[in-house]
Amino acid sequence: MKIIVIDDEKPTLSMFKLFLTAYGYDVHIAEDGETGLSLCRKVQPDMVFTDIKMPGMDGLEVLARIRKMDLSPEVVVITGHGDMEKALRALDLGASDFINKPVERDALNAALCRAEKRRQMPGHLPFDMKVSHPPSGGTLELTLHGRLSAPAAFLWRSCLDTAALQEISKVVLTFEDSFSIDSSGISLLMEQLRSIEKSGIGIVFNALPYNYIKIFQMAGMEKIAAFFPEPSPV
Amino acid sequence: MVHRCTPPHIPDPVIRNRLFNLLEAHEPVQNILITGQAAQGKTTLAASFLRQAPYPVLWFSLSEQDNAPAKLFDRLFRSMGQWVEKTQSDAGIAFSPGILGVDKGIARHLDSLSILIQELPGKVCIVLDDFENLKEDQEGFKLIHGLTLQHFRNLKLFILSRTRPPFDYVRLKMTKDLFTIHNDDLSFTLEETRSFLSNTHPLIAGHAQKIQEITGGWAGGVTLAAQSIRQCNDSMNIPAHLSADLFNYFSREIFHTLPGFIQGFLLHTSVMDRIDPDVVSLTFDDGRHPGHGTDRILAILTELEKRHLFIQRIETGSQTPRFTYHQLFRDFLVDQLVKSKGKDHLEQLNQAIGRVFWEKRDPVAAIPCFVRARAFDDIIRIIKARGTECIITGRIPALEEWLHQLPFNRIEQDPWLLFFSALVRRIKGGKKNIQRFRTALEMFENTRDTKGMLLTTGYLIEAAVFIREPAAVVTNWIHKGEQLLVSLRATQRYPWARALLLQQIGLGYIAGYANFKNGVSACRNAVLMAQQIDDQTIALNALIIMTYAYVQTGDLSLARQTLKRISRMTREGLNPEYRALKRIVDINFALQTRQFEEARHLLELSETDIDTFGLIFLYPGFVEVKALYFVYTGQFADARLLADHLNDFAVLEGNNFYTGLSHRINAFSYFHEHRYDRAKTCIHMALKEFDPEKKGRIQHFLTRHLAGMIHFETNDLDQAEADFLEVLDFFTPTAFDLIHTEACLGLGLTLWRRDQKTAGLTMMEKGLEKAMAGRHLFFPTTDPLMIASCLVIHTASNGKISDAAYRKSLMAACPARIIQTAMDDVLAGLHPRDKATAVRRLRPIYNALLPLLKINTLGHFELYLGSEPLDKDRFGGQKPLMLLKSLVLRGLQDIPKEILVNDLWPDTAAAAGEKNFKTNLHRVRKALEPVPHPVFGYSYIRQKAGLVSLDPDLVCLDTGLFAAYAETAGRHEAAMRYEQALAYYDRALSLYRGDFFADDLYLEQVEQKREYFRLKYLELLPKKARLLEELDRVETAVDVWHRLLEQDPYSERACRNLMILYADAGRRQAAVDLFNRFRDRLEQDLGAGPEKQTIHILSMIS
Repeated sequence: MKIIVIDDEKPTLSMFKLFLTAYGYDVHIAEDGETGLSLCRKVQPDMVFTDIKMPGMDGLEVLARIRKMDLSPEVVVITGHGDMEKALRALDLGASDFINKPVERDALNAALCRAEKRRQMPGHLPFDMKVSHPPSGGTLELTLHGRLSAPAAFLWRSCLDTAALQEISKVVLTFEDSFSIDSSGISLLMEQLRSIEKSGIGIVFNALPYNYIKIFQMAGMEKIAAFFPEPSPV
Repeated sequence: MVHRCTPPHIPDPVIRNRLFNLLEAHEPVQNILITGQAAQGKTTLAASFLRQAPYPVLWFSLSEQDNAPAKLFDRLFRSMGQWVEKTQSDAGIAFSPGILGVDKGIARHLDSLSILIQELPGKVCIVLDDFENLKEDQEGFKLIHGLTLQHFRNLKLFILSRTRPPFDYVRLKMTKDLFTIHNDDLSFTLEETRSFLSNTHPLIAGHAQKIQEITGGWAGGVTLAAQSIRQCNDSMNIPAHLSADLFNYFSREIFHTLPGFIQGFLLHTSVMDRIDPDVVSLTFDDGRHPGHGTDRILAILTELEKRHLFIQRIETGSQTPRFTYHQLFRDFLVDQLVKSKGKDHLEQLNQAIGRVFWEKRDPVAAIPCFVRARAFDDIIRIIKARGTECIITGRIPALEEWLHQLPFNRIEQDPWLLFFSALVRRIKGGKKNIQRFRTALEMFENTRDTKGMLLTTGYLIEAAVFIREPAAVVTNWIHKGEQLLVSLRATQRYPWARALLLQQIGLGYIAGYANFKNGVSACRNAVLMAQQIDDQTIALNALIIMTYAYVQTGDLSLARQTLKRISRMTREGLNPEYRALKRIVDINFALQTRQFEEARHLLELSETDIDTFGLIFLYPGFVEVKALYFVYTGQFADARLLADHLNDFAVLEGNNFYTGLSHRINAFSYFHEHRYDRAKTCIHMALKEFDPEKKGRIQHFLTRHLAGMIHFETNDLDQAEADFLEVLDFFTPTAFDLIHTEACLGLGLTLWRRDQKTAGLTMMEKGLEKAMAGRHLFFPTTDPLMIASCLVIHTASNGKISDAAYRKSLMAACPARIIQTAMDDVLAGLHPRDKATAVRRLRPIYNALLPLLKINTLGHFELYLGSEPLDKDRFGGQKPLMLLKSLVLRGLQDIPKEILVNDLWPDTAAAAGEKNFKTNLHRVRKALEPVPHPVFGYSYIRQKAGLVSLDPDLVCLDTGLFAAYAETAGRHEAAMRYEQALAYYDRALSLYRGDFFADDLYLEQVEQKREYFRLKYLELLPKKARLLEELDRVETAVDVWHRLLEQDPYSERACRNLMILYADAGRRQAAVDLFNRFRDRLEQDLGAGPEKQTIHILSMIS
């Protein structure tokens, strides 16, 4: 798998290159956005890591320009510690994932693992939700696929109307590898969670992608749902 | 093993002078590219041209397999290595097959090959035939392309290709490093076709014109057409135009005219890539001619060669030559074989031949046969039998190629195949490889295969280290390995596997867990075991890993010793790990000796190596030394940025050892910046990370040592004392001499400050003695003020340090203001009754801080304080200056003040004279030292018991230097060290800028000395001139003689020597003119004539 890393800090680039090469990837590096984009055209990567904060062209612009290209690499945005606002903007621009600085090993592994799995899936999966009705009340299981954003509201409401929640004591949301989200999707999810919570039903997030934990925490979902993160990839 | 790079033996029926001339004309060009269609004569041209080459030729026929990573490198490197070994008894070129980096190889291979070529004992020619088999995006092509773009003094590279390779032609054109012979150049001219036919088929030479027309000079076509006409005796049916597509047509025509036995022979042998007559003799049986011995087979092959049936002889150095068919012809034969006997027969034949090769212990030849036969069991047998040997000898590319031939499901079922398949993708296999190794290990455990378990565990540790698994994962595998080794204690079996596992355990402990003690111990055992089994690679790698541990623990002395050991085992350039490690040690050394520019240069090289070769295990060590470089050069912010980066590395790595290191670098940087409060915060964070129970004791105590220094600086003396005591307790029995020294000094000063003067002094003395014994001049963790204070306190208390030269060097290493501050502090803290003694003892230290007073007396009277000229107006009148001159006139000796009074005030009453003297002496001293030290007072002019003198330690007279230089020059000349003598003559003469006290003509007692120095000067000039003549520097000698003549216009000697030099230079008239001028001057000034000897020289010249 070909990976391009874009970061204006040379030591960070060296470190990423050493690590990712050791992981067995074909790694290319660029010290600024412009160079990174021309490298993308040349190398046609499967995955791009880009720092958000860079002089000149920042990571968000890099992301936007990549999305305009005739390429569809997985783009993972590297954000500063706690900079969730930028992470959200990146998700709106079509980032596949984001990781915080300093990059933790589990976060990197999770991002790589998800990217590898996504490369094997068909591109641009629309949002879909599989509902497993329990035979006799109890737990309702929802499996989330694809990109959750505002247009998914109709699907969500139609699947999860009042009737569907009758005699349910717990809703388990399982996040599939293809799952991704943007800021409108977060608002929608939050709205739905509140509505479920009002009915006195417990909510569990199962296999929650490692990198979404912080963003969901920031949105206040941790108060409504119990988080069970995805297992760390080996 | 057959030597496979001998040029093919090709009979050259036509000498192609036209092309030879072109090649000879381009002999200086490194890269020769010969492109042309199949059978166009590329190989023939190169082989026949290079037959007479004055350098050895290594010939490589390339196949698609050479695209594979490292395959081609392996072939080139080994062949050149073998050649070097043949030509040099002490060759010792070895490419370590067991690498310690994560790079993908191409950079390493190009680097190693380049260095090997640069170091070759003479020029060598490499021929790469069938180059079209290399694909642009594959490593084999990149390797050769990389070579073409470099310029080597020792290399000639012939590239023979059917297609034009995608080289960087623009660059090659600019550097003029490429000459190309194209397809059209290769085509036979009519003349060459005639010559060819005359030599090979004289009976049909008359058809030359016709053959030339239909073949267009295509060499292969000419051969085929000639054969065809000869066999069929019919030139009428030959098509009007011949192309490569018709090759088969002609081949068939010729083939069918051959006897059945030969046909069978050709079909049988077409199966072999290289025809080995021994193997053919064992496998070829046409049913009618049984029992063909090797000689008979050789005779058949030789006959075919004579008939130019597209067969080439390859001399291999063994008794029996090998042969190979031209590919087009071989394709035709194989096609015929399949048509006549079927595919199954082809496979059976391949398998039979493969087995004969395997019985002959030639797996390289056997494997392709088995591949064509789809005989996977045979391939697996070879892999299992030879796999470990391939690892030991570094033939990983071959192993990879063999495994590549097997279906995946066959590999998955067998632990050894699985292990080998992971091993050949070692490093580049990434995380997936860990899973492969784990599966193999489980299978080995199930089958109780000890050797498999040993090897797999070893490589699991390595993979975990390179993939930067958390320390807990690495230690898990280490413990597993240790258990295995313990279980094998009673047996001597599997020494190689055990040595390898020990090496990997060492790597795991040191680079994966930072447990240096256990790591070094494992590596030592690995080295011992490797030596027992004579495995250089394991010994080398274990030593490299050990060196890294020594560097990490700051034990540079042991690191250097180990590097010396390594240097005897490898060449620096051929092993990037060794080179990078050595550089890290060198950087530390450069930093300690304050060679910062050198350190910066080495850092750049080191960074390139780590980056290029993926030396991830060296990366944290590199970041640390780079941060230290920033600290020592005052770039504190940059140092802290790197410390933060190391922290990022620690987070990504999940290893808090580097977090501790990051805090310590921050503390160190703040410490050197004198921001002690921040340093304190950081060092406490570092101490938390370096818990001695978890991270090993060395790192804890190294950190504790810095903590002691920081506590001392922040006046937390209780804590500083506790720190130093524990540090000393830990480091006393170790070899960490420098830290021990620093801790002694730190503790000594701490105790001194706490008013435990005697204990403090004892500790300081111990520290200084240790420093002296180790000749340490750089103390990385000690503030220079601390060193200066120890030095001052010790000197003031005990008198002096036994080694004055070392004390002087140590002082020179401390900035003057710091020593001054230390002295002021110490003197301020002394009881008044002790002060006088202390001042006397400290006087030499104080004097060393003052600038030297340089006094010039030869020519104008000049004064310099250090390098600054001293304005005479500062003396406030002539009398003080005259007093100074009187002192100078008498040299650097004690002078009774009465003499000076008498010099300056001869007619004054004694009391008044005494008063004048005092006043003017004070003025002189004030002029030299406007602000004297409140304790040490005036220094340049000493006055004691009525005697006055210039302090010889602080005052330098040019007359003293003049005499000393002149004497040294004479000594060198007597010892025939002429260059040194000349240099000292120059120095002495340059000091003589005029007469002694030239401005003071009437100064008392000056005349005698003036004459003395003048004569001395006039003595030196001819000495220098004569020496220059001896050294054949005639022009400079002439200048010096003229200088003598200027100083002494009546010097007969100067005149005579100049006349001779002019005459010798053919300037007779100049000599005569000089004589005339000299004669006139003597006559005019002295009324005399030149000496007889001078006149005699004139007559000789005339």
